[in-house]
Amino acid sequence: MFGFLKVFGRGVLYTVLLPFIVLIWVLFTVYNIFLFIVMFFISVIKWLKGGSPFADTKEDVQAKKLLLERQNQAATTEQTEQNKDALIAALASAVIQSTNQQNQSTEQAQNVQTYDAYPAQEIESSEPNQIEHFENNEGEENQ
Amino acid sequence: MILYIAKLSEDSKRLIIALLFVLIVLFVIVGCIGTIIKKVMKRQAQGADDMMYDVVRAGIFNRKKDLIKFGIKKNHLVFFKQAWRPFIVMVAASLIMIIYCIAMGNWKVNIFDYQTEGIGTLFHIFDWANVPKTKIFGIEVMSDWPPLLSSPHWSWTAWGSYIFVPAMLVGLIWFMICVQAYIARTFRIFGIAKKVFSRSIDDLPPQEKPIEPIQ
Repeated sequence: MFGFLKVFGRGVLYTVLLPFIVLIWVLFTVYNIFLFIVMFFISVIKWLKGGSPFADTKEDVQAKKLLLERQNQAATTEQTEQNKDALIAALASAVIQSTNQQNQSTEQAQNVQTYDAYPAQEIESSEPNQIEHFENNEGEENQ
Repeated sequence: MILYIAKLSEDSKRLIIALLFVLIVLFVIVGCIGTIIKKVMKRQAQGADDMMYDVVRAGIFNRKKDLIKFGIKKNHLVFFKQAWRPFIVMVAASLIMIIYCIAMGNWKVNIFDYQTEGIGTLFHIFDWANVPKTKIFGIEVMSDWPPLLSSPHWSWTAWGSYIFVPAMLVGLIWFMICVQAYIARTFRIFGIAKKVFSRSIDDLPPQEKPIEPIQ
């Protein structure tokens, strides 16, 4: 209902303003006819000079040039930032790798020492003695 | 007023209600047409944004006046680019009419004639001068359809009018649409210039607003 009243109200408003709207429209039409004739002669002269009548204005060309420069600058800055990030990532991974290697070598050194704590014993021929020896070692490990 | 309406006959009351209904429907139709034209003009005004976007983004102009001047210049170019097509249609229609006049040997052609040489041969033509009338509340109004002067019939001698009148009509309507677009873009250019060079503190980004010192 409100929508209908809105449209009705607009209709009343446009009916009241119609003479002014038509007057503005007629004035613009007459102006545009003259404008068209003037633009026609200007475009014919441009065409005879070898240019295009619908070419960009010098402000458009300047604007496009500026925007292209800014775009290239932004792309260069982005590339530099990406390179920086990649370099930092590479350095970090190199540091981590070297740390890991150091840790591994330290662990290996510790493992070698562990083996030395249990010096190799000469194994005798009788089997029961070997079993006794292994059983003793298991008991020590469990402690 | 109410007493006067109450004294009226039933037929008169029905006529008043019918006239009021017709008036309401007319206003609603005008309102709908106006709304459609407004929406179309809003869309046509987007053309101004298109043509000024690069220049505004690049910040070529430092003054509102210069931006408006550039916008108007660009608007003229865009109007000419759009309007040369309907102009070509109208020129072609005129050339066909000239060829028709040379072929028929008659330079005083009535393009709206309904008998032999005009576009009127394709429509019902009524004798509006002798329309039956009646008086209602002292005003003379139409009471019936007027007499028929001519029914639609094809006339080979009217070929020039058959091409000229529709082509000119299409060209004129197309040109008027281009004028409407020009008007829409003109208003939008002023709006854009006002917005780009607005000095409203409300539109300042938060980081540019002064911060109160911590106490």
